[in-house]
Amino acid sequence: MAATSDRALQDALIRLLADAPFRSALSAGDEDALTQIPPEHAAVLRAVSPDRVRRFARFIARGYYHERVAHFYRYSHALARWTRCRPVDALRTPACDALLDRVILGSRDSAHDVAALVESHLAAASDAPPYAADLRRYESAQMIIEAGPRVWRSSASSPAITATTIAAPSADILVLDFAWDLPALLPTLLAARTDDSAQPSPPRATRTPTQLLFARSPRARVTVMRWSDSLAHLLSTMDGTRALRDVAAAAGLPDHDVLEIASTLAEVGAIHATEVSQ
Amino acid sequence: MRERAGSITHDESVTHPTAAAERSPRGERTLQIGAFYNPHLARDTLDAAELFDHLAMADPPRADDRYFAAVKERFTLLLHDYLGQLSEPYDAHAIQRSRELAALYDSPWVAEHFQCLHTEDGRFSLNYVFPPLYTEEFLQRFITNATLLAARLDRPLVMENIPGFFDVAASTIPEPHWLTRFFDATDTGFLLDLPHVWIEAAFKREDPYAFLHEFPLDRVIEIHTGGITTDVDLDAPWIAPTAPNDAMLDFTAHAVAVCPRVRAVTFDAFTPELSSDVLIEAVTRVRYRLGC
Repeated sequence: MAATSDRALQDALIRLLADAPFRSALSAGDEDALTQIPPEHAAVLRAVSPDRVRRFARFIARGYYHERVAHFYRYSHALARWTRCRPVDALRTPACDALLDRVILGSRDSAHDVAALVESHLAAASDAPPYAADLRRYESAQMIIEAGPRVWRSSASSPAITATTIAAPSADILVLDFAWDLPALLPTLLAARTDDSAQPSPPRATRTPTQLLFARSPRARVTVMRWSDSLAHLLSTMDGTRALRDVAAAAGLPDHDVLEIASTLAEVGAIHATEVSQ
Repeated sequence: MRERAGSITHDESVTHPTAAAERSPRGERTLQIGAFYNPHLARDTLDAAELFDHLAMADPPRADDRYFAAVKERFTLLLHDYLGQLSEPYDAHAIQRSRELAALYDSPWVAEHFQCLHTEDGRFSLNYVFPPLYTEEFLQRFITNATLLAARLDRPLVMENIPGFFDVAASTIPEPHWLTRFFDATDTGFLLDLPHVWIEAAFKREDPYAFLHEFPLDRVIEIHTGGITTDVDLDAPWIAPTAPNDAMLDFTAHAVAVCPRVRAVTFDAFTPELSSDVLIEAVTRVRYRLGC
């Protein structure tokens, strides 16, 4: 039974603005799409000016992705002083206009589509440094992993990480390989944003294989960490059945080392931890 | 009458400060003039420090912000972050964050918004301004949750009006009446956003001055002013990171004159796209128009 409170109606209005397929279904009279909404709320949604809703939804969507592109692609933005190609300009293109009429704000698929749009826009830049493609992939990964339902309010406290904790990898992680040492480059790029001295070329980066883990916390905070085969192996042994002391024994590592690593991984959202009573 | 929205014109018709003072008698009260803190303009802001009495903080300072310590030392800082939405009670995390930021800034008051922009289940969020339904249920929710929040803050809470872009039949109480009842029921101040009033009046095809006077102006502590341009997606006027034009400056001066408790006027523009020139020009023009 769908809720009929004003709060539930507000949720339906928010969805009307955030979810383009839902808007289309509503205007097409697709009753299957409206099964989670009480008939009286559906009537309210249908009574709202569709033109006003469409315009406001597009406005909201552009702003939503503008904020994310400005944030996650800030390193490519810093490069724009040499490439003359700003990531946010991808959001003022006909391709973006077409995309905005299809997106679901906060969905990973839509984040992926917007990231592809921005990458394509940046890939056409001239005078880009050789690490630019890696940088674009790095930035897109952050934007994509950030998407998804998030916890806005919670009274639950984080479980303590102890030797008896059982941990399992989160679905909100991504491990990517890069040809360049991006973590070492990024502070230099950010400093370039406010450096008025005329640098003739972009900062240099070190070419070395670099593996990074992208994780998202339940509150949608994105963290990027250097990753390695040994950490990947350790994570694979956190299979949701073994206590961390057994994980440590299997890996041949001291308990406290594994607890420290697990605490960090839990904090960034890379693993789910469950306390098990003795 | 609504002026056609557009970017500021650099004409010579700016009112003389004496006239502004005459039209906006302020007695002995001190009116602070400020802007939002835009980290990419930190150095320019510090270089023109005499223009800014306060800076509103929309984001926490970044760890790599080398100017923040000087900014904090030089200016009054106002907490104006996204803290939560008062359609639901703040959780412990949000309250703790609010308290820590307010303490970090030593903010004289804490700002929150009359908005409800994400669903209860966390699936959908608009990320930007969207007002609640103006109903009895939402009024009671906001009263209850604002009262709870105010009790946990060590400083006053002020609430900012948020514009709508379309009518919803289920909103049964006119927004100004809903806000008046909210302020009557809570010990909170009113952060009056004038561009929000202006664009909403335009949407309703009402005179912005008449619409302004429907709001509880005796509760106003802070005023936001700013630029308005025609947004291409909305095909309608909306807030923009431009300096306020003459019509908005006149509107601001009028609002200051009729809000007896107002303590601060803030140029409302927070975006990496804001230029130093626009920031300086805007605050200079606000000061000039208000005789400050």
